[in-house]
Amino acid sequence: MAKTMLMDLSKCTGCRGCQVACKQWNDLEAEKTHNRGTYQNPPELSSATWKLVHFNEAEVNKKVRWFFLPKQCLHCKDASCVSVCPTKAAHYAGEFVVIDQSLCIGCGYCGSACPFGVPHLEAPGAHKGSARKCTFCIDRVTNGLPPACAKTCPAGVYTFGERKDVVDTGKQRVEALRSLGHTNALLYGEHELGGLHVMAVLTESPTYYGLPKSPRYATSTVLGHWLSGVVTAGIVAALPFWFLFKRKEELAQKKQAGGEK
Amino acid sequence: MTWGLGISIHLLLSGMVGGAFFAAYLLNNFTGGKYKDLLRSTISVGVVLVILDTILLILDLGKPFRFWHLFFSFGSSHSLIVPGMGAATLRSEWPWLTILPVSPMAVGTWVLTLWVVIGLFLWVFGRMKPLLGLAGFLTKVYFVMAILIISYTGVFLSATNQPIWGGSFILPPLFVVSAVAAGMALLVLISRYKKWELPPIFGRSLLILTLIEVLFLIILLVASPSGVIVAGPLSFSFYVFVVLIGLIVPFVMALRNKNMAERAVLIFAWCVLIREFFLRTVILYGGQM
Repeated sequence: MAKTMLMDLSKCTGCRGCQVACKQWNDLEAEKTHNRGTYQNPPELSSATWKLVHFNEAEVNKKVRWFFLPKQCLHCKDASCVSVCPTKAAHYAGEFVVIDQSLCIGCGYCGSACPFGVPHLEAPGAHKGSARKCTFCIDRVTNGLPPACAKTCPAGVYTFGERKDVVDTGKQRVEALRSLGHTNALLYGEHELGGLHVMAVLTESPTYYGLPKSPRYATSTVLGHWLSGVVTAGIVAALPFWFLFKRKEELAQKKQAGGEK
Repeated sequence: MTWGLGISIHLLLSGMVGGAFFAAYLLNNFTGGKYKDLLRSTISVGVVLVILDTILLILDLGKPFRFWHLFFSFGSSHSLIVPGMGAATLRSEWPWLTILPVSPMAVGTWVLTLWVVIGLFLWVFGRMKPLLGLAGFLTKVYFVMAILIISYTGVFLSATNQPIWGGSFILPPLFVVSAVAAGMALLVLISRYKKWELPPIFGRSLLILTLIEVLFLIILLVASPSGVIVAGPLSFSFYVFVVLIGLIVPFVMALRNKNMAERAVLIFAWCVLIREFFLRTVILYGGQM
């Protein structure tokens, strides 16, 4: 059975304990940042920050509300980073998506392909290096422990366990939230990208949390893109070249043949 | 920003090289083999440019010394490395070729590598009598590869989730047309340098191509969140280098003087190259803003 984690974001208080626990367990260095007038710090995920609480604000029913999102790799079943990686460095290790640091060449394709913008090459100001991201604490999970972020959360945001149980918990929680008046509550990640291994209970539309409504598998249309390129090459060959050169050659030959007669 | 100037240059060089061969091959074929020398020159110039491009690309990697992983991997198992926790590695002794048809970058790497290998063969042995048959066959293969190369740059960017590029079906066609236009500009420069004559309608075909490119560009800008390009931090580069220098100047030159002097033709070709470089640059940067 696949291990899965659920983040009930209706319970998140934005304390950033998960962010710190991730740094500590994975031995990730601190980043030098500046005050940007927000609690969100550092500003974005990086090679040294694999989990970051995003402080999203939005107006709902004429009231400004926080929509905290502890952003991290969601470990998609259909992972775009795996499909575009040219060296097989990004790969599935069981149900999790990890980047083999000995194979990664630091091309950055995984970061561009990820619909959530998760893998990063460099910490600000540092050399590019290789791509890094959350490993789902694979060293802990394979030894029967929950991920560090889930273990440390004081608000009970995280549920970690077998996928079926976690999905059931998420659905029950959504129903409970709806009965409390959060009519737009939903479970994010049950079906997206083949099923995410980090799902979330949201009280509003995913866009409030900075998540894409319908995340796209980067290479889902790659064959169509190749075909559109090849067809265009055909049009280019036919229009300016065939039309102007071949036709003119043929006309010239016909003219020459007519003159000889 | 992950991809900067190095990738912009790569997008231009690879497109231009593929486009130059594509255009020279069609020109030669549709005129009964009148431009064989030009075709050969595009091979030699193309090989040199792709080698330079490859060096640039390798230097642009975060881990340049690992570039060989693009071609070889060891076994089917992977090492799992967690920083601070060491590595658990499973490897076979013999390397395997890394062939990943779904990854546009992997496909592009192989095609560009074969481009250099076949190009070197055609350059060195292409005129030897006993090898003429093989060279003729390889030239046809080269043409197919040229189509893949000019398509590759657009496919490479569209297989992402970045704004402007991600999932765009117009980007590969736009980059194909742009690559052929850049390739034709390179042919103009080569033929001027070698003192070869290009047919007078060559310029007209480049203008037709430019019109198609403008159409595709408008579709891209309308269909994607292109605010950073048309009204944001990239708008100066877009309007000055793509629109003014790259489009308006060549069109005015072509309209005012149908039989352009040698110098004017050179200016025309450089304007097209500037346009194609900045077109790719603003799209590349725009997708990362």
